[in-house]
Formats: sequence, structure tokens, C-alpha cells
Amino acid sequence: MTSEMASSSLPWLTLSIFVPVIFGLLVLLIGRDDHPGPARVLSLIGSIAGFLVTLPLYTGFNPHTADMQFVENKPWIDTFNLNYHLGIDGISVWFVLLTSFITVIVVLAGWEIIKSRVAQYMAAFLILSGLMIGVFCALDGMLFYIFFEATLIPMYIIIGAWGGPNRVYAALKFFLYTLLGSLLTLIAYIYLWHESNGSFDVATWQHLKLNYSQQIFIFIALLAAFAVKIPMWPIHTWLPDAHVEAPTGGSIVLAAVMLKLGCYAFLRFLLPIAPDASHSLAGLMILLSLIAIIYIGLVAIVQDDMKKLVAYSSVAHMGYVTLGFFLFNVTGMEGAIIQMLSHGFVSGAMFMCIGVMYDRLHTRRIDAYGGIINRMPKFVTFFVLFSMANAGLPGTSGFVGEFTVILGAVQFNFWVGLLAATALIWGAGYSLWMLKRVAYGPVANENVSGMKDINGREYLILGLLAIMVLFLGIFPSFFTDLMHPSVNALMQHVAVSKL
Amino acid sequence: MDLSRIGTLLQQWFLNAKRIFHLLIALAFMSVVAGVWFIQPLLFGDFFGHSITVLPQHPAMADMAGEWHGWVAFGLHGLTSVPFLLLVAGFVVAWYCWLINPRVPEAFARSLSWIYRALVEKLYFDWFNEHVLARATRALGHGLWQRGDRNFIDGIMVNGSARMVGLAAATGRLLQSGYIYHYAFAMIIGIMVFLTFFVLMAH
Repeated sequence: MTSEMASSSLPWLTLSIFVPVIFGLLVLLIGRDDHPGPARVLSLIGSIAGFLVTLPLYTGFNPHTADMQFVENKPWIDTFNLNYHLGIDGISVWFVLLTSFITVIVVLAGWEIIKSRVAQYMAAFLILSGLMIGVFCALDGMLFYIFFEATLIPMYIIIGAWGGPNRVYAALKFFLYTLLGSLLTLIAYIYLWHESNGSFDVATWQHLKLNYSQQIFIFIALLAAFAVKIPMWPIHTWLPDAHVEAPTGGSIVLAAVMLKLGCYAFLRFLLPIAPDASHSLAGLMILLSLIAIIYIGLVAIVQDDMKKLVAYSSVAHMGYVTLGFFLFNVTGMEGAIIQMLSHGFVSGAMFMCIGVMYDRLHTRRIDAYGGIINRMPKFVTFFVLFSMANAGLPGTSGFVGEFTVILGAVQFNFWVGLLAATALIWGAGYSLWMLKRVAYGPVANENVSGMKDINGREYLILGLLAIMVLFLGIFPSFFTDLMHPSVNALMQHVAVSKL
Repeated sequence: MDLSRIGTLLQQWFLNAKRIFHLLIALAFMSVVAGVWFIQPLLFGDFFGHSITVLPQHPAMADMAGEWHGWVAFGLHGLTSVPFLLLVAGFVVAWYCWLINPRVPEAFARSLSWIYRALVEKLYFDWFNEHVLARATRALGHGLWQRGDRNFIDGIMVNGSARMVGLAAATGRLLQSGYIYHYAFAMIIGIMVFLTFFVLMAH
């Protein structure tokens, strides 16, 4: 892959990373427990400013090249040849924008609900936002590793401090799972640094000649971290626990962006650095992806906790992403990336919907609800849309990603495509069955009877997410046009053997 | 005025028998007008341009074009066709059985009760879906969740690994008695092992 640089007048990537981080630190400084208003307002200003500084990345992006753009490269630690090297291509630009957009959503989502240690809560999300954007922009292996691992800290604090009754167990499980995998990645990065004569440059690593056994070692070491983060079956059980215990904002960020860090790392590191190992282990990866789609889809159906259900559905949807990656055709790859973006909006919206209901009844159990359409018609309108998108209904973003991956799978092998397509059945099963039990029928009990429909703030959040779900569903070319050159370059790169 | 209020007003406006009847008449009239207007260009004209291609080995439309004598003749011919006569027969049977003599369908339902029951139950497709397919899917999902996720992955792989570490640590702790002569003895044994190893390696 080429990584030629296009210069720009302002360091937009640095601004994208550090504007939310600096606002996060300011919120920490001015925040007071007895007077949380200023912290909330400053957080909102910070998140909107963070979003605005990412917009030039789209408006100034050249869609006709696969080269890295908005590149910044400064020496950091000369002894180890570490550089502050940033840049984005047609793939990563969307995840930077997704992250900054979701940050505004989570700040709004926690506006009234979080009542204790508001400043710390908001600051954790703003700092997390900057770190996640750093992951998507880093073109230096060690810089990537630092951003990737640093995201654990705010999320660990968010789950551990503002989570549910079993939050400490969930936070620890989340932390240990993801850290354990990352240690192998660190070893792989040091090995790559050694093999490339002391370089942490990602483009150098991508063009590094590695024999087959070296590639297998690199593949397994990188897979250990990235597969946990996605998460792939069978190392997925931390995710339902983390989601169930996390506050609404934590679940939104976890599902919408954090899972994508692992997927993105597949594209930036695993596939281009070890293309031959990726090809020879593609069968295993496709098998694991299909298990995630079918097995997890079935498990999702029987969940009686709404958050657990959506968490399991996330694992199944991520199965589509990894499936698309290892089909090694452009259709599958673009479908997987669209699925990543779509899942960012849809899962975020689903967790927001569950949060809206939880704020009113303080339970996530499906059997505690029933007939809420009689009390919350506006909310149920959104809930129906997002549930349909989660099930992959045409016209919504969920359909575009799944359908494109299925097309790619059929090109690869008909039976793989057929098995992947069963996800539409499981998706309809868990999403619509939950919707039916929660929303329809007569009012289930007195608690439901007292539920109030969504307020202006919730309307705004769900409305913004609904616009994105429909926009991506109806105009996917708006997104794919920008990513075509980068995806084609990646496919050409992984098609060439290093042996 | 929000969307749900508009929806309620529209619902109230439409739920009126006379209004529904008038709407149906209007729809029927418009469908006739649309048929008269569009049948020629749609079926035999160039309405679709190159969007639809009929291969020469499928001559149904070409055969029909040979029989085409305008929409009036087409409509009149339709009145003598079997589907239209079946439609009229169905209308007459329904009118007689439900409005004139309801005892006829009751007698059929009694004498052919198993057919009647099967039709009422929609050939038991819903029953089969609910009691066989959905129940089996739920049972499979429950089994995978409890046996796969909870017992095997979380129980054995994750918590089992943690228990193994705990067990290894507990065993290791037994070696730490706190007596200096135990540690000294261990060091002497270690030195002997190393010496033996290097002496043997040297030879």
C-alpha cells in the first residue's frame, strides 16, 4: 500500500485527538460535585468542538487516492525511532468521524442521568474519544499500541465507577481479557521493530518481507489482541458482562466505537503485514465468523435481559465484519466496513433505547415491560426503526452491510453465503421478538402505565441516530465512494505474496 | 402538533364506513382509468424503454400482441374468460352462503369437520412454527448459552484458568515454610543439580 503524504495547513488530526482530551482535562479541573452544571455545558462544548474539528477531514479529503492524507510526522523518542506519525485514508476517516459524532451523543445521553461525579464521567468520555481517534490515526506501531491500550483506562473507570451492581467483576473481566491479548501484540510489535531494523513505521511493516512461519507467529500474536477487542467467538464472554454493568453512555461507546478498534486493526496491521498467513488461515477465520453469526444469534434469542441481548447481537454482527475481511474480495471487504459503520449507529441507538427504558423502570428485564407503545408512542417509533435496522431491514444501514457481505460470501463460496444469510433469520428472531414483548400488547403493569414518553433531549439523540441509520441505508455510496481507493489498494496489497 | 397527534387524526378520519366506501369507489374508478390509459404503452408500447428485455424464446407477449384489438375488446373478452367466471361464481356462493342461507356452510363445517378445522387453523402452519421451529430454536439457543458460554467458556476456560493459577500459587506457597534451613537445603540441592548437569555436559 502506498502511504504517500498529502500535507495540510492545520494539524487537523492532532486537533481531532487533543481537542476532546484538553476539554476533558478542563472539565476535570472546573468540575464540582455540588454544582455539576458548568461541567455538563463544558463537556457538550468540548464534544461539539471535537466533532467540528473532524469535519475538515471529510471536506478536505481527496477521494481519488489511496494515499495517507492529513499526514503529520514528528520525531518522538529518537533512541527507539518512535515517531508521532498520524494520517488517515478512506477507511479510517469514517471511524474518526463516527467517534467524534458518538462522543456528542454520549455526552447528551448522560446529561440528566448521571448525577454523581458528573465532571469525572464526562471527562472520561472526552479523553476516551481522543484516545480512540488516536488509534484510527496512528501510523506508528508503538503510537497505535499506546492509544489502543490507553483506551482501556477510561472505559475501566466508566464501568467500574458508574456501572451496575456487579460492575467491579465486569470491569476487571473487561480489563484482563483485553490486556492479556495485548501483551502478545506488544511482543509481535517488538519483533517487527527488530526485523525492520528498528522501525515502528506501519507502512514499513506492511512491506516487510516475512517468511511463512514468521507471518503465522505475527498473525496469532496480533489476533490475540484484536479478536478479543472485536470480540470474536469464543473469546466474547467479557462483552455481555461489560455491557450489562456499564452505564448507557459506556455501552454506546463500547458498542459503537471500541469494538471497531479491533476490526480496524485487522485492516491496518494483521492483513497487510501477514497476507500469506491470512490467506492460509482464512478458512479458520471464516469458520469462527460463521459460528459467531449462528451460535451467538441463537444465544441472543433466549436472553431475558435487553442489554445482554443487544450485546450478543453485537458479537453476531461483528462476525459479519470478520467474515467480510477474510473473503478476500472487494465486495466482502467494503460490506464489512459498512457493517462496522452501521453497527456503530444501530448498536449505539439500541443501547440508547434500552437506557431510555431503564431510566424509567430501572430494570432491563424484558418481562418487566409490555405494551409501552400505549404510553410511549414516539419512543416506540424510534425503537421499531432501530430494531428493524438491527435485524437488517432494507432501507436501513443494517441491510447494506449484511447484504454486501452476503454477496461477497456467495462470490467466495455459495454455502458460506447461505450460512451467513441465516443471520437475517436470527436477527429478525431476537430483535423483533424483543420488540414485540416490550412494545406491543396491552400495558403490562402499573410501572409501565406510569412511563412517560421521550423528552426533547432523548428525541434529539434518537433522531440524530435515526437520520444516520436511514442515510447510510439509502445512500451507502456517500460512504463507499471515499473508501474505494483505499479498499482496492488494501486488496491489491494482500493479494501479493511476501514469500 | 407532533407526529403521533397527526397519526391519531388521520386514523379517526379514515375509520368511517361511509368514507371507506367512497374511497374504495374512487380507487376502483382510478384503477379503470389507469388501465385504459396505460395498458397500450405498458404492454405493447415503449414505456419501459430498454429496462425490460424479453428474449425471443419467450413469445408470450408477442403472441398476446397478435391478439390485441384495443382496450374495449380486451375488457369485453375478459368478461368471458374462466378467471372472471370463477370470480363471479365465488361472489355468488359467498352471497348465498353468508347472506341468504348460512346453514349451508354450517352443514359443510359439521360434515367435513376435519377439513374445516384444518382450514381454520391455516393448515397448522402457525402451530408448527410456534411449537416445533420456534421452540426448538429457543431450546438450542438456551443450550448453547448455558452449556457453551456459561459452563464451558466462562466456567472451564476463563474461571478454570483463574482457579488453576490460584491452585499453583497455593501449592507454591507450601514450599515457603519460613525456615532458613529449608531454603539453605534447597539451595544446596540446586547447586548439586547444576554441578551434576555441567559435569555431565562437559563429558
